[in-house]
Amino acid sequence: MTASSRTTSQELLRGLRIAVATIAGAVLLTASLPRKLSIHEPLATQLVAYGVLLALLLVEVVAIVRNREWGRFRMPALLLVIAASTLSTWTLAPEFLLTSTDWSFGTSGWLGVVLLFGRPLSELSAFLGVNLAITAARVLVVSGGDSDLLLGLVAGAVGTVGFPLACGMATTIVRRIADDAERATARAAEIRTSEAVAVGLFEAREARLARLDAGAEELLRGLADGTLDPNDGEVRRACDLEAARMRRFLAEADHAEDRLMYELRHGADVAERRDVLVEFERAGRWRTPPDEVRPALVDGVLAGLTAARRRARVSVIGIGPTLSVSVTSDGGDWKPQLRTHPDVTHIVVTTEEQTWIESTWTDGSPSSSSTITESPAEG
Amino acid sequence: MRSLLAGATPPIDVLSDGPTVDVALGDGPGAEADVVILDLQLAPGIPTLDGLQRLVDAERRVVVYTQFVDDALAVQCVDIGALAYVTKPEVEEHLIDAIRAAAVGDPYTPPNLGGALAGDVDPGRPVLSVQEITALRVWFTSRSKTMAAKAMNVAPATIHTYIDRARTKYAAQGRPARSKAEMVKRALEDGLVSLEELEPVEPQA
Repeated sequence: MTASSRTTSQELLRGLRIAVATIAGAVLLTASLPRKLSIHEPLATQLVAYGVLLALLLVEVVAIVRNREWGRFRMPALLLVIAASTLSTWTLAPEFLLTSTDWSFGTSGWLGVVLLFGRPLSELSAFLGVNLAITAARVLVVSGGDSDLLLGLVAGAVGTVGFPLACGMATTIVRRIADDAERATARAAEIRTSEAVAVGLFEAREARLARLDAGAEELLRGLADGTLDPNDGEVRRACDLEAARMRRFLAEADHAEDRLMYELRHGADVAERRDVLVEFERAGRWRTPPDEVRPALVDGVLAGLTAARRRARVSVIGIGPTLSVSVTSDGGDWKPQLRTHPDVTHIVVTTEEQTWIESTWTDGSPSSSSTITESPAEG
Repeated sequence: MRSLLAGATPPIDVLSDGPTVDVALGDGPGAEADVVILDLQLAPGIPTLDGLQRLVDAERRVVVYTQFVDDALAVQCVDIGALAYVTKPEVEEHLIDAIRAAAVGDPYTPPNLGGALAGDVDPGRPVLSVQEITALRVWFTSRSKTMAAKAMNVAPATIHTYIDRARTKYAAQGRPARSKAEMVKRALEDGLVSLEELEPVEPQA
């Protein structure tokens, strides 16, 4: 949408430029010179001046077709117009000044509109002023204060300065509108983009938060409204479990070689802070389980660790496509609500003094040999 | 180690110890011992299994004790003929039992060795049944035969049987050392395994 709006505003400006060139062309081609060649004396200077203006107009036509700006050629071109205007005005027979034979008086100003298209209005005003001054100077020299001729100059100036200036003002306004439209479109696009990014981020965060499930929220609500007592051992266990789940969840964002062991160690950190000695054992080899499987697969270990009093042992073993993650801990009578996943099964065995939770995932993907973690030697 | 063994009931006597396996061979002071405990840390650097091979060749009953928790190494020791492979973290809970089992020629499988056998991916490994692999796995993960039995919904003795059958299949594989041959013979006599189950199989692709 941004692209097409840009094109619209560019098309508008291009149309405007063509219109200005067309007006200038019409004025130049209908100028009286071609019809009154026999009157002029000397004729050559008039033809040179006319030729210069016509050449500049042709260059403009080429520039429009090629979609080019005047750029650094603008000032030399303007000087050429002034020179042509001066040449024509000052070599004209004095009796033709301000008459219909004085073709350049009403024509050269339009070339200024063409050359100063898209430039500030003040530049066009200055150019038209200079252009008028050329004729005015000749008139003053010739007339020697003849009031009729001076009146004619003023009357002529209304058309020769006023029309191009009005046209220049119109282009400036249309141009400003186009620029405003373009900026507004860009701003709207920017807002839409940042909005889309914000929505995407929000959805990603919400999806991640949803994986933390209602557990933490329920717990926090209970603690806030006083229905759960922080001195209650069960409540503390539940808090430990949610804290471990959160630690694992946050560790998900880190880069780690062996994601499973990395997340297990992070989850175990909560128990270690309670001075529980956590040992890790591993055997066999396995493929790193995908993101959606790990929360459920690791949950049994996190829950088992919250039951531990002094020590716990975390074991990971990969046998073919089966990956088993488990924990034995010296705390008993613990039947936590574990997270589930269709491909993960949990076994919870708990006695008065011991709890063993084993979570097993069977990798159904055909590429199970692609990223295999081998159980390394541990000194 | 000495105090750990002396503290067992009944106590286990240490006849000798030394930096090389020679103490338990030939005229060495430990030549008469019922069981040889081989610490794989004996040689600095990479552990070599030459010592274990020499002990097994001399028909000694060997319990390997090591701080290397390494699946491949554990399976290799069992292949050579060690009756048990006990890792350092398992010493307190399992070394005494492993020595007593070895003294009568029985294998002993601590949890880490169970895990190593269950996770063995060697194409030439013996074919274990689903129950045997499951038993080895839950023994490794639960470290309690009672817990493992609960999980498998069988009696603890059955877990024991599955694990021993798996060990017997390993023992029957390859060149049988005396301790291995003894183990297999006994398993056959006790009806723990049948001859068909011990038939060598083609390596799986």
